[in-house]
Amino acid sequence: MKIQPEEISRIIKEKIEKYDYRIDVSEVGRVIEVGDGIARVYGLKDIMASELVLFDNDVYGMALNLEEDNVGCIILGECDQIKEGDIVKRTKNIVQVPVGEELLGRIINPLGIPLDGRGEINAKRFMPIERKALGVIQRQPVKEPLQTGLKAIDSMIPIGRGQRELIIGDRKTGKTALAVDTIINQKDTDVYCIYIAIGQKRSSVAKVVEVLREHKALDYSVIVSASASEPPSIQYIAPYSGATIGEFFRDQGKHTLVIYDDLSKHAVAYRQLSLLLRRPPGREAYPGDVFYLHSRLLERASKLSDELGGGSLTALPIIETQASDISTYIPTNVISITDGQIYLETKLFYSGIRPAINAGDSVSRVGGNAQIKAMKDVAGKLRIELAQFRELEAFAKFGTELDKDTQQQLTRGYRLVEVLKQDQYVPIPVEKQIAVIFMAYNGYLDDLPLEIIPVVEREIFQMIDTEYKGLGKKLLQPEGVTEEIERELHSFCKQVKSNFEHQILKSSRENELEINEK
Amino acid sequence: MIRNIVAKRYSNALIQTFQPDKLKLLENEVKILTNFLRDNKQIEEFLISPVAENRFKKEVLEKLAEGLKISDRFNDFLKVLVDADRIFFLKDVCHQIVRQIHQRLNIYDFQLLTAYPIDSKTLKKIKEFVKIYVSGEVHLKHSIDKRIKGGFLVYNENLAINASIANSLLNFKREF
Repeated sequence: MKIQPEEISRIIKEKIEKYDYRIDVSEVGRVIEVGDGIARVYGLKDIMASELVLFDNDVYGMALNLEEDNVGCIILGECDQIKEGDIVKRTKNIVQVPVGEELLGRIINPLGIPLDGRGEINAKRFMPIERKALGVIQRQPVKEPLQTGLKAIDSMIPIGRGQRELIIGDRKTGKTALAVDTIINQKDTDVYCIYIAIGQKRSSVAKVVEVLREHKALDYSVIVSASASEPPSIQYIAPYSGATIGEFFRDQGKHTLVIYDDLSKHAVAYRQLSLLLRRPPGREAYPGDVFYLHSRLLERASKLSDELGGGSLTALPIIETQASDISTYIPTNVISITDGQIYLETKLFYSGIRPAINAGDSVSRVGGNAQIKAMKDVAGKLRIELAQFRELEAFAKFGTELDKDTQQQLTRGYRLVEVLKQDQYVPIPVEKQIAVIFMAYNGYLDDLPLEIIPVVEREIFQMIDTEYKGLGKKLLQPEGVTEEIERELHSFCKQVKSNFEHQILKSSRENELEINEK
Repeated sequence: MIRNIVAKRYSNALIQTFQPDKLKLLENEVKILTNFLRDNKQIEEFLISPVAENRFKKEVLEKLAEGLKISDRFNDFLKVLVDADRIFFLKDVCHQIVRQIHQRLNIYDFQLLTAYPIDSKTLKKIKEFVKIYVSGEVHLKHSIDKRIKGGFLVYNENLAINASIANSLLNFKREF
């Protein structure tokens, strides 16, 4: 578009002629100290806690410490231009963020400023980032499943809509991958996803965005990014902003999945701010209210009552542990707040078990109610079976002679572990998961070599998609695995196996022929 | 910041010992002392000096009280400051006393900035205008600041009324 200078002059002239002479009356204070993203302000007599303030040069801040003779503010932007003596104005507003469907597919910072270079977000509504969590009356128990598309989770640690499930583990154990897989699996469902990157490398955020774009998951997702290079104040407000965006959808009766990646870095950012604000340090130098920091955030996850539309906000907070120690301050806090945890182990990850979920230490306290009946029927005892297998496996390492039953249990265990392995970014529909787990759990894979199992799995998926489409649909029914369906499942398994045995036989003959020819 | 906290506490304690109708008298005494110390820097330096002995400081204060006709209570207060080694904050305490008296008497001190000198009629008009926003007596301290270009700016530590041309131009610029 070409801009005519005459046009600009005309607009300015009109503006001057019609200019409404305005007097600005504002409650103010003066900066008495500034540095490290913190400003101390004298004045601002009637300011509210968490109120947005405006510094000279249009930089915003947030009042965090209301002290006897000054107000401690965190600066939400560049603090280089703020100097001693600058005027600070009250805005009488709590920090707000744009909300609505206009945000879908966009990458924003925690203040709602777009970071994707795709122009302004024309959001019609704004909501405060700090909102009180809903009361008991407005909620209902978690009862609908939120499928992650990961066999190990949907079968053993099911997540329900409105639940708070912690993903915990050391660095590079697949925490983010697990969250991203869950987002990808929400394609063609009614779940909106919000991924909040707190203190992450920009390259990591870019990678997540790219993966989501590749899998067309960005269309129903919002990315809130407060990367490591942002000031701690921005990192501090990031999860609250994301929660608000999710709450807007929830209040419309829709379903939202919010991923906080990760809350350990959020706690670190808050610790930095608190220490700079001279709040007394406690354990590991975190301030006394670090528990409240996360509890008030995660309490915002909820399943609304039917009268309020039945919307939900599911929270998947991520915590990074150091040297697998989950007994440090922040992990224990968040474990106690959430409704369960998915524990990822470095040892499992490097032994090729991916997702590297430790079934023994992982738990979902409320997700069982939300698990679909068929999965509950098929995988109900899977966790116990796996736990027993782990014990036996440890015992078998001593080289003791094992009886037939124990050997059988070990064989089954190895197959179950193999079946629960899954590639990244390949979520599996729940009916297919049920079929695979049923087959492994009932021993149909026991006499097959481990390396063939992924091939068998593919065969199962193909058959469910083609000739056994009806069975797949039946598995999703609320009745679960009835006697009739069980019979059908057994015959399905037999056919898969027979197909397969035929193929194995064929390939082994071909191999023999090849050898003979040589 | 510690200066403010200390000054606030001491001045608050002193004001509480006065009846409301005597506060104006106290304000006058404080102003007399402040003006005197401003004109006699050496005495102020002596009073706040950490090496000077407290008994000599008290003697000086006694003589000052006689000469400046300071009431016994205010004089005793100054001695308490000396005993508590807080005389170092004398200037801040005096400032706080005046501020708190004004607060109690509903007097609002404002700084008025204009780009050009103004007559008493305009000053009165501005005072009336400021009174809309505060419920009490308004005291304006006028000074000239060319940077505001025109109009006026009235402010104190909690409120700013910006009717300056500079601000209007800034708002105009923001609209584009």
